[in-house]
Amino acid sequence: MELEADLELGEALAAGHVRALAELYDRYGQLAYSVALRVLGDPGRAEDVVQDAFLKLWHSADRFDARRGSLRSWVVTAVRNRSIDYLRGRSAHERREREIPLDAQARGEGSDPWSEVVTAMERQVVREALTCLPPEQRQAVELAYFAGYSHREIAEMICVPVSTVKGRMRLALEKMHSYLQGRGLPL
Amino acid sequence: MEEAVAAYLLDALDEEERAQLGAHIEGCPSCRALMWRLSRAVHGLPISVDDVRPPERLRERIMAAAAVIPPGQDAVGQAAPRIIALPVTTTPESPMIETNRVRRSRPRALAHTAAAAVLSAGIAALAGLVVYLNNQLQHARQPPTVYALRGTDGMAGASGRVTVFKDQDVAVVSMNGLPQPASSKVYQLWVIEPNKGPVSVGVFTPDRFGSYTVKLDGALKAGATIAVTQEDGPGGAKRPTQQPQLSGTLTS
Repeated sequence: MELEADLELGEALAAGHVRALAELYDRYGQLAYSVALRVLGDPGRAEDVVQDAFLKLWHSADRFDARRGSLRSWVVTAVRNRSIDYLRGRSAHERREREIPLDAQARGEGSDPWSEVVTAMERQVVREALTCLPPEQRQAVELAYFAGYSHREIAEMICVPVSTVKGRMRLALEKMHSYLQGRGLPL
Repeated sequence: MEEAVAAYLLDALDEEERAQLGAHIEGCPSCRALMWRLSRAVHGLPISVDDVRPPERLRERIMAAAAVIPPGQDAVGQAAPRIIALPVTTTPESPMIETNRVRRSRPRALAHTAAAAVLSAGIAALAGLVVYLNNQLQHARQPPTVYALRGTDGMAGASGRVTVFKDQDVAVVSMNGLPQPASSKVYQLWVIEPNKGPVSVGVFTPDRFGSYTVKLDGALKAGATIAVTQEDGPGGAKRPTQQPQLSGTLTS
C-alpha cells in the first residue's frame, strides 16, 4: 500500500507537480527538520539544509525509484548527507554519491514501514536499542552518522586502531538490528 | 571486507575504500546479505532524534523556491534559491518592482528613470509570490532561463540567480549568502544594460539568513548585468559608489 503511495507520489514529483512536493514535505518535513537539527544543532542552519535537500530532490525527482527504496529513506538520506556536508564545510559538489545503495535500503516484505509516520513507539524502541549498546559502540555509530566523522577520524579521536572502530560499528549495528527485530519493529 | 560494511553504511569510509567496497559488494552475496541486514539498523537512527516541528515558514520557503525553478530547470547547478522576503511596497519612482500585481500588457520597457526606492520586506507576502509564480509557470510558453549571480570580495560567499520568464517580461532575482550590510548601509540592486548607465532597482537588507528575493517586472535585455552594491542607507545612491560585489550578466 505504501509502495503504491510512494510510486504515485514519486511519479507526481517527477512530473513536476508542485502539490506533490508539498505532500512530500507534509509527510517527511518534520522528520527531515528533526534530523537536520540533531546534526547541526542550529535551527536556522537546519532550515537551510532541509530546504536545499527538498529542492535537490525536487530537481532530481525522476531518479527516484519507489521499487528500490522508500521516499522516506530518500528524504532522510538527502537531509542527513547535506547536514553533514554543511557541518564539515563540504560543498555538495565535493560529495560524490554516498547515498546508501537503493537496493540495500530497508523495505519489509509486502509493506514499507519507512513510509509510515514516525510514531512515538518506534522512537522509543530505537532509543532503547541505542541505549542498550555499550558506550563505545554507540559512540562510534553516533560520531559517524550524526557528526560525519570517518572511521579513521574516530580512531584518532579516541586513540584506538581503525579496525577497532570498524568492529564496534559492525557490532553496534548487529545488536541494534537484533533488538529492533526482537521488538517487532519491522525495519 | 565484511568488517567494513557497517562503516560503509554509516558513511564513514573514505572515497577510495568506499569505491573498493562498493565494487566488492556487487559480486559478494555474503556482503550483500550483511549490508541488507545492517541497513535496517542504520535506517532506525533518524527515528531516534527528538521530534521537532519546523517553523511554518520553511514549507513556504521550499514551495516558493520550487515554483521559481521547476524540475529539470536547475540550469546553473547551484543550491536552489531561497525566497524568504520580498518587497511589498512600491513607489511611482520604482515601477520595475512589484510584488503581486497583475501583469501589465506587453511590451513594456524597463523604467530607466527609476530612482532608488526603499523596499520593505514581509514574509506575509510570500504566499502571494508563490501563487503568482505558479501561475507564471503554468502560463509560460517557454521555460524560464536562469542566470547565475556570483559574489566577489566582501560578498565572496554570496550567490544568486536571475530567473527570466521571457515571454512574460518578468524576472525573479534571488540572492543568498549575503552578509549583513554595515551599520547605516543598505544593499542596492542595479540593472546595467549594454551601453547604458546603471539603473537602480531599489535598496534592501537581507533577512537573517542572508537571503533576499525581488521580482522585476519588465523585459531584461540580453547582455544586461544585474549587480549589487553596498550604499548609504536608507535611500541608497543615485549611481553605484563601488564596484559590484555580486553580479551576473544575462548572456544570450
